[in-house]
Amino acid sequence: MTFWQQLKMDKVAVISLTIITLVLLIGIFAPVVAPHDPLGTDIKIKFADASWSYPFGTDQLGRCILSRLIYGIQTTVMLSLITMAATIIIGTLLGVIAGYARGKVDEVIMRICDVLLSFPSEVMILAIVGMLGPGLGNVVVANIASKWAWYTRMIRSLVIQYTDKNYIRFSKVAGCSGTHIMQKHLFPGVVGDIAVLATLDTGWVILNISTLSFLGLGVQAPTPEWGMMLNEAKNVMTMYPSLMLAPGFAILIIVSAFNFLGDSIRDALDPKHNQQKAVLK
Amino acid sequence: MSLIEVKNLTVCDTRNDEVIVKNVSFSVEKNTCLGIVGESGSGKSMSTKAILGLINPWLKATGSAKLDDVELLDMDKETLRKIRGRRFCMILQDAMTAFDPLYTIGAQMIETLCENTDCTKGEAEQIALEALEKMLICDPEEVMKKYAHQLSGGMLQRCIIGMAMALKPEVIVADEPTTALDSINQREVLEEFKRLRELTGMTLIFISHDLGVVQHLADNVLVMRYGECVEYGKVEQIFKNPQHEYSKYLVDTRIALTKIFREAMCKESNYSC
Amino acid sequence: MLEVKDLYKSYKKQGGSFFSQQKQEVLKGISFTVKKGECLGLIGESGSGKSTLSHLILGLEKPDRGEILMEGEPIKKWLKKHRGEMSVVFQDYTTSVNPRLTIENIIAEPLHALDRGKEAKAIIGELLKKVDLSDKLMGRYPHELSGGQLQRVCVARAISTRPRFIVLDEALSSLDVSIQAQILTLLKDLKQEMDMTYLFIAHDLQTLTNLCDKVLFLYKGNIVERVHSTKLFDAENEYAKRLLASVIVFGQ
Repeated sequence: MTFWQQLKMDKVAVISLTIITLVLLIGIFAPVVAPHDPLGTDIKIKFADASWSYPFGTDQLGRCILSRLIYGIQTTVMLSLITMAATIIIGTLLGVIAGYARGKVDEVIMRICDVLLSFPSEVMILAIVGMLGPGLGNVVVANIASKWAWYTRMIRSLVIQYTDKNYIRFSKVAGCSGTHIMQKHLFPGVVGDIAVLATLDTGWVILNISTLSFLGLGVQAPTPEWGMMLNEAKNVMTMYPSLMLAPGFAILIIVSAFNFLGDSIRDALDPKHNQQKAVLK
Repeated sequence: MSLIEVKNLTVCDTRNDEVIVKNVSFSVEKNTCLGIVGESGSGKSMSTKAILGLINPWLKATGSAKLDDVELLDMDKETLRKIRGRRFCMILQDAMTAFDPLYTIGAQMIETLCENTDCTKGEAEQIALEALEKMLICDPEEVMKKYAHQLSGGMLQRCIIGMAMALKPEVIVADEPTTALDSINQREVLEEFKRLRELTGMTLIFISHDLGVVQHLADNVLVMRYGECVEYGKVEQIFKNPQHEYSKYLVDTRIALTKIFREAMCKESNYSC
Repeated sequence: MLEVKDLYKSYKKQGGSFFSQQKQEVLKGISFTVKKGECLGLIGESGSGKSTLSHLILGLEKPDRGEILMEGEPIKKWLKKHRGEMSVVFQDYTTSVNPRLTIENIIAEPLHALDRGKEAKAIIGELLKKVDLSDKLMGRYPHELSGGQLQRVCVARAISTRPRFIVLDEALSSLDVSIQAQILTLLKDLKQEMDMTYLFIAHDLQTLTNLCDKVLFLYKGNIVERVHSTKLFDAENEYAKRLLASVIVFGQ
């Protein structure tokens, strides 16, 4: 059974994938889907309850929460995906090269990683954003810069475990080129582990972007962003706790969807696991 | 009355109703050695694990397995655990993975000895060193300080066997303990098993796929295949005159393997041909 | 065919300080030759340097001193020029195959490496027959096969490119005795049929004598005895004699 057939059989994976796709589609078509302008303030109706025209009510400036949530997808989710994608690509490439080549190449890459990893990531992000100036683009760059070293190291150790395996040795003896080995054996081997690592990190990235926005270094108000909405709602938590619900649940749902999807991807890539499931059925 | 009496032991996988061990019966007298032979997947390890209550929770063992006339299969976990510690000692297959990678060999050996016998830490260390020496390990102090990943498979197997013997239990169940060892070490380990039996009256259940080793050590042999007992009886009888076709096949294959070696060793009266 | 001259190899001692130069010498001046069509057996206990030697011969590692010549050329050069003519079967069949590939892809891999992938499909059926496996196994995954079957797949993979030299690195040690006998017969037949040269590394003497013409005894990094496999009694070295005397034979 191919990977996709396997994934389709897993109900949890299907649900997660559907949720993520739906969210992404809504985000892309935000101008069409959102009922109101996310930036449109109307102090008169601030803290309004849920109603037909404002399905999730309004926030402290009278803006439609649902619309802000929908536009927030573009900021929160899509930016996180771009950040994750870039981090993973850089980390995987360098990690596989370092793990397979060993020797001097490995030493050089690892020492660079060591230096970068010795900075606490929050401090590094602040420093980079401080140097480049606030703004979403710079937040993304800062996130990538602080995380790629960690991925490189993780993937390198995974690759080293694999290079000790006899089938890699056999391929070398049989005369397979390095790129062939990396492509056919190493990448598929680590992809499963990367999928799980990446999806778990998506939540971290989402929260990171929101933290920076809160500090005024990332998203600038009034751009809608889920984390930012949570932080704004925090200020009126005692009076209007319901304001935290919408963005809070949104983050919960999307991060859970990614986590479950990661698990399912890893399971679908593991032939042994599939066999066991088939037997049990 | 036999020390261990097993009747109609059946192990079933409750997840898919697969029968792993089917109706196996045997008995082991005190101070004798039972050899269980068969190929991988024949249920040798599974039978002994089932008697000791070491099988996975989704496997169910039925039938009867008695130690000194006390039924083991329906005993509660705590009592069974005490019996496992004090009276049995099991040397599992793949002894290389029996050591915790986080602690040194020495620490684990001393811990096991103190846990299962009433000796002090100092005494345990002495006993452990002696045990390693008996296993022909040169420089036992160095070995005790090392971690599992620093030693070769053969060395780890010898450490595990040494530790099991040092506990001086009533029954040792050894599951393929000499697979990674070369001839010299294997012979030494088997001699040590023999010595221990004579010294302490220990009972031994020896599982192996190598008939030569079983012939060297065992009094009785149980031949297993696909979870069933194929033949059971005295070693000389079964190996000299195997009744079942499968036993014949195992014996013939083993003889063929040895034949060329023996011929190569034959010269005058030096080695027995 | 294969000439090993004065080979030395050491590894850094574990547990030493970061800057310690303490090395553990694994091979101390190994020299031997393997003639074309011969089967040379190498026996030694675990930790005597057998695997290290096989890695050096296969070009996976570099020796500290000494040279390895195949047909007169340095081994690495020879391997580049004669791709597919040297093969290996390892001891641990569970890590010898990529668990994500089907049996068919596993056996076809060396052919793909030589850009002969198109012939693969035709050849694989024949190869499986040679090693006594049904071609129904082509679409299966490694974990569905037994140890004996998987090791046979490794043998099929090793001979797929018609190599002239095969290193058998404890290829039988993980198998049941009865299965060892089967694969020994298979190896013998293949050797004759395909005119191959074997280097057989093991720690069990009885399997060695069944397959090999000459036996070398490796002890603590040195070759201590060289003897013909039909004349084992000629062994003079203490260690070799001890080893031979301790073999547990099966008698009736």
